[in-house]
Amino acid sequence: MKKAIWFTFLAAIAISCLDNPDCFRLNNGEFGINFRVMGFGADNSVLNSATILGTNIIVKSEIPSSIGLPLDPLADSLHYDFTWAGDSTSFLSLGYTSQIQFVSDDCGERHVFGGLTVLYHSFDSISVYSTTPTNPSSVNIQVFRCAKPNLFGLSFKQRVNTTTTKDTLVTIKSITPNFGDPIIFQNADTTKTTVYLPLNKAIDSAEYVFDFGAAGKRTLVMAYDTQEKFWAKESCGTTTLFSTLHVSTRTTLVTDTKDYKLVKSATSDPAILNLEVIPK
Amino acid sequence: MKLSHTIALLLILSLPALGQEKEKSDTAKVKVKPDFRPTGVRIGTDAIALVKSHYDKTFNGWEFNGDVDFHRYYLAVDYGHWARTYLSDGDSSNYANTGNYFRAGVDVNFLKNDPERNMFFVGFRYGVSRFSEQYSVIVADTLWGTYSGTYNNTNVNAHWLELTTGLRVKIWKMIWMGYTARFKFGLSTGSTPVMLPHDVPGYGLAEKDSYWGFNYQIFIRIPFRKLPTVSSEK
Repeated sequence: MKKAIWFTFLAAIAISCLDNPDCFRLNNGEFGINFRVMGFGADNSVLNSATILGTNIIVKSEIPSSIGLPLDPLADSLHYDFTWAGDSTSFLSLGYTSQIQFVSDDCGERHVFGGLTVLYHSFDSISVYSTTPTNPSSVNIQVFRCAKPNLFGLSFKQRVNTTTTKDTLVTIKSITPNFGDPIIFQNADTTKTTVYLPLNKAIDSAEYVFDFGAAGKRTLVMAYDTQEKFWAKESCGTTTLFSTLHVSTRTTLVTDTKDYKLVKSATSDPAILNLEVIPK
Repeated sequence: MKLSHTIALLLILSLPALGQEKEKSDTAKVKVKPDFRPTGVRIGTDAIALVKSHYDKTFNGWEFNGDVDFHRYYLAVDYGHWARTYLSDGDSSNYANTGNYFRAGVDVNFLKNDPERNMFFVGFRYGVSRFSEQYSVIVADTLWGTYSGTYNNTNVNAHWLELTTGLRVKIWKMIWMGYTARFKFGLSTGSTPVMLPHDVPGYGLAEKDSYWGFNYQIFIRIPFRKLPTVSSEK
């Protein structure tokens, strides 16, 4: 009994002394944005930077498809302008709460942020995943771009031996599909290892005439199935998916089935490589 | 520490007392008549708060404690005051709070057969506090620049729960001493949109979900009537 009493007495004194907070990770003044493509996952579009309106603060994106942005403890809203590769821009206006708290004589104060609210934005769709930033920062807001999986990737190869191929540069003057506008390559921009070509969602095949200049013209005919999806219909309308891609027998770009390889039979956004060909 | 762990700890700590009662009952069965009429009131103060107020320049406080017995159950109340003041060396910031608090609850005495009614108890409290605090600061932020401000929380209400355990021992005639260990949890404070509370009088650091407190108390017991006799049972 005496031992238990002494143990209780000493333990209570020891525990009651442990009231000094540490000064580690006090603030949660940074929130995270994750950029995604509706229905496809991470958006690998290159975000160059974000600037905060009314300040000279420029934040560079260090992680693909994500960025961490600071919150001003003296404000209740901030306007962020995003600059993407190709100089396209978008913006986000964010509201939030900020409370100061005295932590200790040694640590000073901290700011506790919360109540993240999207006031207005220029993205296709946005959702607040978590209203309270954390330290270290994590994803608080997910930004969605409407998917446009209407491009398929074509890579040109040359045969090294019977089993191995490698990328090769091909001179192309133009590619003319049987729908829409032709793709014209000019001046120095005429040699390619890879091209991304649009598919025609109106019908189940697309035909492309490759003009290799002195090497002549060849035809590639792709056949496929289409499927319509309604992801965030209010923002994106109808999204057409392309699947079961295959090379039609009417193709003259290659002479033999051994001269092409279907890598992926469905398109994606961002576009991926679907077909490798060894042009004749 | 998780709440469940703490409850388990308090129960484990109370086992020796329960075990002692079992042993006694095996050797000489003793029975206290279940007389629930109160026999006296005990009024005391927390010595730690008084000593801390004297030696700790940042703290000033006091606490009064009282309980009334109803057989082995005690209605316990505490009323106290504390104020804290922190001044930085360079006067770039200072924090001050002041407030009063009140706790009420029940203790259960596990020393059932003690003729003096000494106590080894486990109990609970419901605590309420009303306090004000002020914080003045000059902040040099590497990103947002230097700024200063004075922030106030005035007449903020807070409440919380406590699990308690401890001792009450008769020292001499009307003089009693004891200690109370408190596990505080479930703190809820009123709306403070600009500044989060730092220190809640009676509870402690507001940022902590649970908190330990400790009192070393000196009491005077004023009897209403004689203690019921403890009779042996054959």
